[in-house]
Amino acid sequence: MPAYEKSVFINCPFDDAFEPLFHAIVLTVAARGFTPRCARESEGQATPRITRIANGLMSSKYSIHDLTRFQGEGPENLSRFNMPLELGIALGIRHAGATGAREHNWTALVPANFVHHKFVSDLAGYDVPTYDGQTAGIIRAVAAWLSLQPDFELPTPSARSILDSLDDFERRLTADKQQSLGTLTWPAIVRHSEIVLSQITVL
Amino acid sequence: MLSSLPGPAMNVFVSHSRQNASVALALRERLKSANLTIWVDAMDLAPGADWKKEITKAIERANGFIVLLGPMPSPDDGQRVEWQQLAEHEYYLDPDKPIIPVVLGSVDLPGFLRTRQSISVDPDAPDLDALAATLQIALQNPSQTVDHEKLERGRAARKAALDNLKEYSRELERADVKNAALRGLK
Repeated sequence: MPAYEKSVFINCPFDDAFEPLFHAIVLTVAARGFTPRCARESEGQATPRITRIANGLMSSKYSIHDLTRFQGEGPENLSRFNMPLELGIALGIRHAGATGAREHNWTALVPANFVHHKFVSDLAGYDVPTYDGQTAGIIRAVAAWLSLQPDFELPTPSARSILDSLDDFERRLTADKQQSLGTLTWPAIVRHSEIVLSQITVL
Repeated sequence: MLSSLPGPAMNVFVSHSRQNASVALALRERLKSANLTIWVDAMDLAPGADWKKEITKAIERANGFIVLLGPMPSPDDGQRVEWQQLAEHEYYLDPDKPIIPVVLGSVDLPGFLRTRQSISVDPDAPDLDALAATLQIALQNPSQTVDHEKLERGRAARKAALDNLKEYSRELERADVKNAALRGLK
């Protein structure tokens, strides 16, 4: 199991539309010297999903929660509440840390223009990073947040060079998916991130 | 005020919390000279200005940074915003940009400041004249603000992080195979 101090739990949508952004987060977390983790790492287990997520969060010192998808979807115009629910678990762990449990640092990624003040107003007091829905923006926000953390170590690739490596990462993931008959596994994503990052020269 | 040292003109941004604002202002007075322009929000922000926008502009204009930390363990919200800006601009990756942490008391540095040489100051009796003189020299010698030993340790840590990533993916693959076998048994 990856070291707690270096584990970053990623809480974001896992559908096709969000996939490029998810891959950008994974590559950025790994590029900054941390180990990306998410609910997908325990997919084959019989344990309920929410328990697996809570276990993942509790064994990670850091977590990133994407709250940019807040609008209603489908014929019933319902929004999905999984992301805020899982952020709530992280906040609980954070508060437990203040009473002696292990420390947990979290951030939420939100859309620009403070719209999150309307749909999750309890976060209004936190200065959480915003991004514009693009991979460059999410890399910049995640890279900056990680660089502020006590377990971040220099040297590291710049956000620009992470973005430049993203195409290679995506190409490898697409090829892997084709070879695996349309399934892209979490171990494959992690493996390709390591291969791509080992090719970046850091001064 | 110190006399000017020979060197290029610099814009220096001082990042501080409310808890160490008095030190920031005292340093501003001592450091400002013919070739050093010191920006401290408490003095240089126009009344009614958009604080966040002005901070961003001042950070983008700056080619040198002094970051005051302590004596309380955490920065306030204002300084957090400044750090987020500094981090987003990735100035810490540029060894030609002097970034000097000044630690009042004993405080852990955030990751992006760890490979910079910090200056420790006694929070109860800070010698501000000596501190200003040290900062003036450091600002004109960016390479001296980098802690090369820590940078070297960071290189080893980066290699270890990539090895850990490889091991984690293997561990996941082994678990996948095991789970697939168990599903097959059912």
